[in-house]
Parts: sequence; C-alpha cells; structure tokens
Amino acid sequence: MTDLERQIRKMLEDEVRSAPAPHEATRALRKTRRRQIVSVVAGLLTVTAVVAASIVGLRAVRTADRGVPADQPTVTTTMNGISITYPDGWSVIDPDAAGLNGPPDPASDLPRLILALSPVDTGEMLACPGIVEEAPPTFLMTVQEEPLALSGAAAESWPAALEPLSVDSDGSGSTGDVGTGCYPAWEFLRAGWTASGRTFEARVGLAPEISDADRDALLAAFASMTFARAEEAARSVVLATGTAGGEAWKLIASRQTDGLSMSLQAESFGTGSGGFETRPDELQVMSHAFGDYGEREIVVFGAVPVGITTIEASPPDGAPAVSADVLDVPDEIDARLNAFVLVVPADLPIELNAYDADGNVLLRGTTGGYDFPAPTPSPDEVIFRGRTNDCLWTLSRASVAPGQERIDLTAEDVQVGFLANVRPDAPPLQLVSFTCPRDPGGTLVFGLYTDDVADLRFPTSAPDEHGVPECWPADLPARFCLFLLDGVGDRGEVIALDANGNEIGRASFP
Amino acid sequence: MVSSAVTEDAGRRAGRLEELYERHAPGAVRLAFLVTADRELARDIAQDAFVKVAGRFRHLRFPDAFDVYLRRTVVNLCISHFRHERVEREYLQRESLAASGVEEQPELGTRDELRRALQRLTARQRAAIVLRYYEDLSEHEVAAAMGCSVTAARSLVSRGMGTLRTIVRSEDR
Repeated sequence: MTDLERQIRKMLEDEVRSAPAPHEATRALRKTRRRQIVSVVAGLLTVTAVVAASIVGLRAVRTADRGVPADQPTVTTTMNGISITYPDGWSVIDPDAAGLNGPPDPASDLPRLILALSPVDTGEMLACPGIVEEAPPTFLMTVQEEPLALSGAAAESWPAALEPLSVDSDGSGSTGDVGTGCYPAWEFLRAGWTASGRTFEARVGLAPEISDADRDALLAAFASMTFARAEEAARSVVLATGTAGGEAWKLIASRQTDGLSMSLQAESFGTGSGGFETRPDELQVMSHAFGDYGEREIVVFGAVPVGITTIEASPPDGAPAVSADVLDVPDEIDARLNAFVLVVPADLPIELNAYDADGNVLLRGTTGGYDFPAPTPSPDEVIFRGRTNDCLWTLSRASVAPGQERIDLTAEDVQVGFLANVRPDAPPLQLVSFTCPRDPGGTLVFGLYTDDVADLRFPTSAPDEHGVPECWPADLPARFCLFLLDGVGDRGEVIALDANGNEIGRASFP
Repeated sequence: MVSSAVTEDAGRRAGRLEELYERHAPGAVRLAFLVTADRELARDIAQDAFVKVAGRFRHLRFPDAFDVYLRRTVVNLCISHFRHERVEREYLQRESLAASGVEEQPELGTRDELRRALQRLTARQRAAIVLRYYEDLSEHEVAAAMGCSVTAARSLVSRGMGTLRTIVRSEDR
C-alpha cells in the first residue's frame, strides 16, 4: 500500500466520523411502503396485466360449484365486507394494515385492495413471495374493490369464474416481478364480478410447486366468498366499456364535491375531467385518441342534461354517422346530468348533435380533426433482449429506406435510436448512447462500425478498454457490424482505428 | 379477534422493516456522505436507496444481498446526483472559490487537503475510491457496486488516485 493510499484510508475513516445519522425510520418506512404499493399494485395485483381472453387452450378454472373440502378444518373471516372460509392455518391479510394501499381517498375512483389470502404470513414480503427464504408461499390471492360496474364483464353477478390471466413474463414493464424474483414461473388467474351493489376483481397467483390439495382449497376459498352490501351508495360507477385503436377502455362517472366527474381509463393511461355543468347551449365534450397512426380512433365522451336521449357524430365527408344512446348516470352521482360515449375516427373533424326523444337537435358540438405526426418506423426485428443491472432493454432494427436502417434501444417506454447509414459511403463509426431510467449509473453505447475498423478506443472515459466489440446478428449489409457496450463511461469519445493503428473515425457520446 | 390479529401482523411487519432500516441505513449514509460530502444529501440518498431496494425486496434469497444492492443503489444515486453537468460544474466552481478564499492553506497530506482533493474528482472516481479504500472492497466488488467491468473499476480507482496525487503535489508546490 502506498503512502497516498494509507492517507486516503485514514482520511476516509476520520471523515466518516462526521457523517450524519440517517433520517428517522418512520419516514423511510413510510416511503418504502408507498414504493411497495407502486411495485405491487403495478405488478401482480391490479393494473396493466393483459387479460388473456384470446388465449385458446388454456384451461379456465370454473370454481362456482366447488365447496371447501369437508375433511379440512376451516375458519371464516370477514374483512372489509367480504366473508371468506379457508383452511385453518392460512392467513387473511388486511391490505391497509399491510401498507399495500395508499392513504384512503374518498374522491379517488381507483381500485382498492381489500383482502389478501396467503398460506403463510410473510410480513412485508407479502408482495414478493418468490424471495421468501424459508417455505415461500405457494399462492397469493388478492381482492380489490372497483367502481361499481353498470355494464361490461365486471357487471356480471357472483359467482364468478376464475380465468387464466396472461402476464408479461419477460420481466419488462410494470409486470416485471413475474419474470424475475417475485413470481417465478407462477400461473395467474383473475375474475371480475358485481355483488351486493359492489364490484370486485380477484387475482390469484399460483406457484408451480403448489400442491393439488392447496390449489383445490384455494379455489374453494375463492368460491366461498360472500359480500356485504355497500354501506353507502356508490361514489363511482363504470358507465361503459369498449375498445378503441386496439386498447380496452372504461368510462367512469364519479360524484365529486364540485359535481359530476368523468374519467376514461385504459391500460396505458387515464384521463378525465370534473365539474360538468348543465349548460343549455353546448355539449361538454372530452376525447382521447387511441391506436397507431392510420388506425387511430378517438373515444369522445361527455355530459348532457337529462332529456337528451341520443348523440350522433357526423364526419364532414359524407361517411356514415355514428350514434349512441345516452348513458344513465345514477341519481346518487348526479341527478341533473347523463353521459355519452362514442368511438369515431380520429383524423376527421366530427360534428356532434344531441337529440331529445322527439328527434329534435337540442345541442351541438364538434371534436376530432387531430393532426397527428407521422409515425416513427416501428422496428420490424428485435435483435436482442438484454439486461444490464436492473435495466431490461430491447435492441431492434427496422429498414426505413434503401441504405438506411433505424436502430433502437428501448427500455421502460424510453426509446433511443438513430438512423444508420448503411450505404457504401457510410462512415466507419456511428453510435449513440442510452441511459436506462432504472439504471442511471450505467450507460449503454450502441451503434455500427464497418469492417475497416480494427480497434475501438475510449480515450476519455475508459482508456483501458479497447478492442473490436462483439458483432450482433442484425441482418445488415455484410460490412456493417452492430455493437452494444456497457462499462465505457457515460460520456466520452470513441476512436476507430484501422489495422495499421490509424484513426479512421471518431464519435462522441452522449 | 380478527382485528387484533391484523394489528399484531402489521406490527410485526413494521418491526422487520424497521430492523432492516436500522441495520443498514447508517452504513448507507456513511457511504453517501463520503462520496457527496454533503450531510443532508447523504441522508436523503441513503433513505432513497433504502426505499428503492426495500421497496422491491429483490434478491433477498442471498445472504448479504440487501447490503450489496443498497450499496450499489447508493453509489448510483450519488453518481446520478453529480451526473448533471451543471450541478457538478457549479459544485467544483464553488469548491475552488472556497479553496481560493482560504487564507492559510492546510499542510500537505492533512485530512482537509485530501478531502478537498477527493471532492475534485469525478463522482465515479470518487465513488470507486471510497468503495476501494473505505469499504475495503475488492476490484470485483467495486465493479459490481458500480455496475461496470473490473477493468473499468480498476481504471477509475487508478485514475482517481493519479489525479489525487497530482492535486496533492501541485498544492504542495
């Protein structure tokens, strides 16, 4: 050890004595729980997983006719208005007590977890059974309460059937816990129903090693649930559901202090507005565009006074009009207003007319005619899906034009790409860098080099690193090589040398 | 019956998380403090790192994994903080102004001198040196904590030490 190293060590040891104490535990734990909520709620338990309605061949588990096995001691617990009978020794957990819900917000129309069932109480690891060290739980069932569904599948009455649920298993996005540590190779089921004036959704996760007996007992416990009536009239109702541009949506009406509030919720976003008024002379309209360029549709929704029965949307070019009956907003939410929703093409201006029962036009409005930008080329070939630390990324390429390729790196909805020149006169080195939101300490550098390049050097950011990076199979013209590097710093220069050690290209990042 | 059981469970859960925090947070603060030299920032970074790691509860199958991931997250957050060029530039300007305003320069090799020299390194070099000489990590462990190759980690330490040596010598003249 050199003198300087000894001095540094001594200085650090002295210096650390003046380090402060951590923040008090309660503050950190509160934040941790909030993060757990985000992690859990965004993962398995509530949103964004795709219902596998289209999956053929997966077995649907019909549970309504099952009963709790007679030879197994059971207990019955009532929690948040749900009574459930389950084998003695299992744990019913209150999601509020477990910190899985945020603070109560009466104004919110977001779903709220109200019951969890697990074979063991794993404490704070409830959200991630896959990492429990000893005897990890083999299943997890959660039930959440949603806005009262007046239509759609969730409005179907109890008993409900559990159906297979397809969850993104590549570890990306909000369901990333599935492919990694939390729910390794788990099978998922879901069901939605309305009972006693309340709408629920259950999600069940089953570990591969679950025994048949536990599986049967769990399904029996699910089927045993009974529901108390809501203590007060629903503050939020789902008025309508549908799809637009390939994405499912639902229209929710809520009672707020300033009157009727309506929101449109979909897998990828939520939007809404409150304070609708009874205006005598105009339609109150909101809209949101769905789908890719060329296939875009807009969902147009709004409020109309009681007395309007039909809304008609007419494009200006003589295309057929679209009409819809007005949706009844329950009086306990708003007695003065009803609602409407229509799906129309996005790129045309639409004239809206509101009719009464006698066919008179009482209100008019317009919407649509959005000027959408041209789309970026969608990658037609995924080259590789990789992982760097906590960052899961996808490298892809797409042919844009002769001699031009688009190379993209995508992670967590963040995409960085460049138009690569693959013509004969292309430069020897083309590159960009990418810093993943989940791995801010690590920057990836990717791009193309030609077969003229014999060595790449990183003089400013990683002087000890050099060589010819691995060539990813990307179906590019033969003299081009697609490369991706990490560990060469987050900014700096890259110099391309030929076989004689002469510089033939230079690029910098970011 | 049910409500008392729920209360007990919640208390036990909170206790475990609190124990985890009390065990690991002080070390995380110390590491963040040595890299940032900012007491409040260090406390915030340590807390954020704990929230990030404990909030996901990944990799806890492995002994010490929490420690490893917490350390790595602390380093990432410190580097992220300094990544923004403006922040770092202003910081360095402030430090150099502060240094020039000091009437009596400290003696060669004093703690203050080395501390100031350390803060003039890039955040990544600083983190690498703290991990190597305070946390006593091997080059492999430094690389793992910083999310880079062993070569890059070695380079960060070596270049950082080289810069420190240069600064100390120049201030000695």
